[in-house]
Amino acid sequence: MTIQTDFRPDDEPQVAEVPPVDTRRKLLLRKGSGILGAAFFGIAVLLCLIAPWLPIADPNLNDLNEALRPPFWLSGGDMSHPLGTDQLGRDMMSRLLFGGRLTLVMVLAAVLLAAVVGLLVGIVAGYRGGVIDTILSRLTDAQLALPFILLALTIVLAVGSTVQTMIMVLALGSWANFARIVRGEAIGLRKRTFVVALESAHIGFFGIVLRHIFPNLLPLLLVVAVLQFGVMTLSEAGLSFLAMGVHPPQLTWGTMLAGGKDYLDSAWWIVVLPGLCIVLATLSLNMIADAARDKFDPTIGRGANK
Amino acid sequence: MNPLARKVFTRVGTGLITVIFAATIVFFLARVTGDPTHQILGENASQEAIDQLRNQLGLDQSIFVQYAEFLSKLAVGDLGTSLRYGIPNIELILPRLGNSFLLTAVAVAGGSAIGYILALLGATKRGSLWDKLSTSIAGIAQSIPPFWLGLVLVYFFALRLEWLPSGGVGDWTHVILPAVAIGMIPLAYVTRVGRTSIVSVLAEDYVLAARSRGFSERQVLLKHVLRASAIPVVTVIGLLTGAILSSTVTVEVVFSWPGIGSLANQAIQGRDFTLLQAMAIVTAVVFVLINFIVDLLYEVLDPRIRTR
Repeated sequence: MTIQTDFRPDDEPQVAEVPPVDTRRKLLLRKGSGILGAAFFGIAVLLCLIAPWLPIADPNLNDLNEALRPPFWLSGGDMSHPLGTDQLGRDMMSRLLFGGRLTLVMVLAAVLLAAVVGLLVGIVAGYRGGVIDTILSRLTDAQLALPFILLALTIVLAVGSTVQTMIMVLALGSWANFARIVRGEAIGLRKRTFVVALESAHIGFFGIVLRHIFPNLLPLLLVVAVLQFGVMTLSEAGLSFLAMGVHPPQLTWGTMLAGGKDYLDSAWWIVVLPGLCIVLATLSLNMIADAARDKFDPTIGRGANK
Repeated sequence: MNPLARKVFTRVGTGLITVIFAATIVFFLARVTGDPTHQILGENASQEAIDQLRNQLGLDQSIFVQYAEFLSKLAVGDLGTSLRYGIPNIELILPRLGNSFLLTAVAVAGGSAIGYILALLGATKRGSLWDKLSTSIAGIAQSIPPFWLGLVLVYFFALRLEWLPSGGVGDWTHVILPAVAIGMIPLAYVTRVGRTSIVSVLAEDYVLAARSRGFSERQVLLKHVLRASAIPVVTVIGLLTGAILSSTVTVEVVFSWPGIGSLANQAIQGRDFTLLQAMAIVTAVVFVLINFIVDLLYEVLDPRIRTR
């Protein structure tokens, strides 16, 4: 769940904003962190994607003789298991890469699903208005009022935690965020001169929405999607921590974390390393989103442009 | 009717509709996800046991009958009976709410206060090292899974340094670590939103006017900026309620804190899905209530939008 930092009421007239003098330097700085985030996330994704072809151990190979080995920089660790092993002697580095693979694929699918649903609901509500808008907005509010984890638990408990269920559940916890923001933007677009002109030229609803509204929403949609990607990575971890994640042999960063929590005292790395992966992935995504937000839409900046 | 009463009235109305919609989402999701009897009883359950449970849960009736019954029970505060404990869900949830509320209140108060100070530092010294530092702290705080932070804190402060207890309830020291873990969310968002808000208030004419009348910078900040910039910050805390409650659930499990999180964990162990549904609805009510209070706070904070 994320909160956008934009609090303009929907109907507030847009005020022309004069950028302050230091905007250019700020933008460059922000851009720099955006590039850093993108580079880091890109490398992480690449490593996770090529994991099956890397010369690393099987992520599910048990070897109790090698159990709870620390990473190489601690005494007792060596380069045969660079990041140590877990309670069953499975290689941590290999598990982190394979775990990241499923985490990223699952979350990506969930983001796409949530974006499509949120976009449909948001456009219809914002552009059509009227009773449909009222109903859809109430539904969006209701969805946002339900805490993700409790709603997700009720579903996963009832149908079991397969990868497909996880994708659905994550998307369910996220679509309302897309819908709310898309609706706000669509209301703004509806009143713009070019849309009014198209309407008076008798261009149909679908024509306007597909060819004119949607392209204008795309940049914002991308920013929200990147942010939601990070949020869902955290959500997946929380759900897995409560033993409601995917089942072995499938693994995600969240399930690794959950499995290691009883070994915190003797082997901190089992818990700390997957958590760090989650933090770094989410952080780099947030950096990308911030940079993209400034580039695409300066009016929803975080103050540098206000 | 006077305008304030009307405002409260409409707000209560929309709040009620939100709760009913939320309950409806929970109800239909539970039905769409299929028959939970197999999940509860396991694969090898006898047909009689399944039929009996279906009858007990009312699953053998039509969905509309079930929905009508669900709503009419909801209207009188009946959230069903726990599968595992056999007593009304609401009696299990209410005693736990107080504990969770205490923990969350400490976390939100502490997190927002620190976030606001960071925001003030960033906004008044824009572009400086302080600004970068506060923005970076907010960015990192936003990216940390709260329960993982809880585990890391336990490792350092309870297991290694042995300064603080690793969980359970007792004196105030038991609150610190879980509150820090939960407080990261309000801290992150209050810093970000607060900075934006303070920067825009600082550019207002009345701040310039106050300065030109010779008020010191401290007076300007305390008297004008603090109050005027509080509205978006209060709003974001209201909207964050859901995220904060979600993180409270996982953090409570880490620290064995006897609130709704631990209850949710027990419900998972016991496959008590009616209890989980009831909890989702109760937390939705809490969300609506908090945002109702936030709305009323606007009136106090900003005389310009005070209802006349």
